[in-house]
Amino acid sequence: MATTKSHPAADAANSTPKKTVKMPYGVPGYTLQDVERQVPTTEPPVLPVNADLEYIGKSPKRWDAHAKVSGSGRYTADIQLPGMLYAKFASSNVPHAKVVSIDTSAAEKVPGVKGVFVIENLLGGARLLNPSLEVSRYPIVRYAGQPIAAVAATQPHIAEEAALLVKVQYAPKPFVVDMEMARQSDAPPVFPGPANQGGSAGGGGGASDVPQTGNIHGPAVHKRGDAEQGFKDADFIVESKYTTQVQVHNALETHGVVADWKPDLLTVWASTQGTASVREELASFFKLPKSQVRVITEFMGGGFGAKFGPGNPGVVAAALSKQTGAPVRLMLDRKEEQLSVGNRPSSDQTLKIGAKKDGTLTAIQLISFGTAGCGTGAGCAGPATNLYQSASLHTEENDVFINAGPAAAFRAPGHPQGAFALEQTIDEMAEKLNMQPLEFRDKIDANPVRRVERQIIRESALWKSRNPVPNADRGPIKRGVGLSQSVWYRHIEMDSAAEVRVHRDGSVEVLSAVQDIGTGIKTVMAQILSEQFGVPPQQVSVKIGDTNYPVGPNSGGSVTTASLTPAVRDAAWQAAQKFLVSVAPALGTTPDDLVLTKGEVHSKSGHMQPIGFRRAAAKMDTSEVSAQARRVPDYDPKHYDTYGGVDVAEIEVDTEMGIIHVKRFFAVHDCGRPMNPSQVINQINGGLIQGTSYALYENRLLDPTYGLMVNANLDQYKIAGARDIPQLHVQLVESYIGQSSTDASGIGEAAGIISAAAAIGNAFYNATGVRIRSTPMTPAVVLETLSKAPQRSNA
Amino acid sequence: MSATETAAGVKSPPCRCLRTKNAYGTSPQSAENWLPGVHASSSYWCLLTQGPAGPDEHYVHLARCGPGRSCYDSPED
Repeated sequence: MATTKSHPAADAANSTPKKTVKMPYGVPGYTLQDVERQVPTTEPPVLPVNADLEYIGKSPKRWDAHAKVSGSGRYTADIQLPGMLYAKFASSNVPHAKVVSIDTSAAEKVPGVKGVFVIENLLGGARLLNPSLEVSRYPIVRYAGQPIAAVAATQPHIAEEAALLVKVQYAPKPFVVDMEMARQSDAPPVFPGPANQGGSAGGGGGASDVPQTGNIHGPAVHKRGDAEQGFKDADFIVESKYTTQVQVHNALETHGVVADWKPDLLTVWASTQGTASVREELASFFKLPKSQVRVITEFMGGGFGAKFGPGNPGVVAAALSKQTGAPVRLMLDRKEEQLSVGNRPSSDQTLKIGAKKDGTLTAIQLISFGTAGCGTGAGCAGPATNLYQSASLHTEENDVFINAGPAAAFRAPGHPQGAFALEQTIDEMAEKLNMQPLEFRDKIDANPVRRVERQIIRESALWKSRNPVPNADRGPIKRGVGLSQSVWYRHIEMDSAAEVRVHRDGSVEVLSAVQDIGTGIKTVMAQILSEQFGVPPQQVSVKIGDTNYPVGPNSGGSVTTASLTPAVRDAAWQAAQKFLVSVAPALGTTPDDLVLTKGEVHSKSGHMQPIGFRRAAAKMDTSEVSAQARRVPDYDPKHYDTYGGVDVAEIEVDTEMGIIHVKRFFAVHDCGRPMNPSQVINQINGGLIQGTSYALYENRLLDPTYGLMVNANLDQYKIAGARDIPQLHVQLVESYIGQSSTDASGIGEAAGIISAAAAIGNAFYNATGVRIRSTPMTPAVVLETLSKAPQRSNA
Repeated sequence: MSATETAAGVKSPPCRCLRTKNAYGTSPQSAENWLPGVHASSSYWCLLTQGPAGPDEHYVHLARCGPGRSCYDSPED
């Protein structure tokens, strides 16, 4: 794991025989050209651009559409096993305490209760570093809603009743749920302190050298160049403060598992973004060989980053199944989902940028605080670090502990917060420079694809309709148009493999343990086989979401399509070659003479007329041929790409009622080769909706008196509904980078969630002439913002 | 995954029980070094406790889960 070691796959790739190929590179219609790559000789022929393909790059209907709309698709909560028990957590109702005792006797006596599990066992062999700081038999309660025990019973309502009978005696501790209060030197400490850990400071990336003072964990400092000098060199400086709230994931399907512990096999149906991660962690936790853990995710109702590994539900359900000898289902309810399994941290950012008169950025400085509850991960410097060229950069990111549920990775971690501040500040600077927002970004953004995207935006009717000066409308309803850019990164997970089988009846199937988190990888896998064998996607059998199949990537960080599709294509290509070997004797020729293309087998020598794939398959000398392939490292590993987009929002601001109505988005995005444009656009639609919801509505509210979340539901925790959703117009930009046999990338993170709030913020300024610097932009925030604006005029 | 650094300046891999969104599977060489903006935004949890604090009841973090900690479990053992 040390950074000084190269990846074995990279080493292997270096020693693999190579061939030189020419691949498409750039954006069709703008910058498309050929690029030479050295690729393993076993790689399939280079794919042309989408326009020249039959199935890849097209938008067939979702492979599993019927199963989803008919209800035949089985989600984790649909799993019913003979004798299955239902489990329910008993959770803390205080925000900070030492657990003195836990009495489960009353719960155990409830008829129908088959097992009770106290979470002290999860700790394994605790070895306190400094026993005098916090001695406790049970985990310290650090937030209201923290799981303490679980009950398994024959019926869900019995488990719920019994869970309430678990008696927990607490020794309460002082608590803090407000980030500003937690930052004070006399605030109650959420953790007893870093203690004797001097030997573990330091590290790589943004997390290097992280001190802790009270509840402030940080700063994580990142420097590039001399920012102090950069500000001295600047002709203009813009400095502003921005705040964003905590957002809860709220995937439609809650966290949960069904665990079935048998002596020779633990089988777990899990709502997870990573079958591999659940298998790995359960095997590690229970000290089982991975071969004795099977994880199944047939259908999955979203995760947004919070569903990796088994988590407490998975571990507890498996333990209860082991204890009771029966399958156990543990699905969280909405309240538990909002309290204990993750959220997007808040932010309090002070952003300062400096620029010369010609628009050259001389310095970017970001000081941020944010709370990830009792966890870490509130950094938000990604956009400031990676979006624009600046002569210098200085970022300091601080986590502030409070007594609230820990954060989890949430779709583009840190980036919506960071973009909300950065993109408005960039617009402010553009105004000072007397430059247009697009013109200024052309000056400071080196990404060639976003340059194309800005050109598309520039030529759009929506952008041309933008007020030339802010606050142009005379009435109380003011229209505004604003934009924001986004950036995300090319992650690849090498644990990505697939097997392709060809049967004598002409059917083809593809197998991988990868899970479909709802974004459509099944359809894309089918398209790849269709392109290879000429079989329509709906006739391809796609079997995924089961660790009995070849390992698949965990779906986080926009890795799935970029990681898995080359393995699928390679396996399909290799299976096709084996297929030709298998049918050649019966066709009276040699495999070298045969080519499989567009659903037909052709003879290069003209030895025979083309024959359809299915007819040829009937001549196979065995009933099946198969090939398994794993991900080949990127062809040019030294060249890394970022992805993103440019989003324009059109809004109306009711300056009397304080209501923002987002009327439409025009979004232009790139993600390498779009394998299925319709599905990519679906993700961007979802990101823009989620981003709009984040910008205007969502907000976790904690009561400072009792330390409880007061809106742990979907009634008072407001999420954008149908009437709140703007018109969405998405345009994709194909961008070829010459990195793999499919040249595909992911879109989940960069798909609108990063930029929506910032674009709305810039549109708000265009509408009103006033900067809005806090989310959610509720009517109260809007009216307060407008009331503080100097010399605001409707004229 | 980046290495943690001891007081003596020796690079050591983080505890095998440290978990984050980016920790699963394997990535191409140097990919994470190239992502300076991501690590500070990462959320961490401990495999043993399934929570943000480790068995020693102190928080878990890439910069903290190193050999100086009593519950540290080296991935190289």
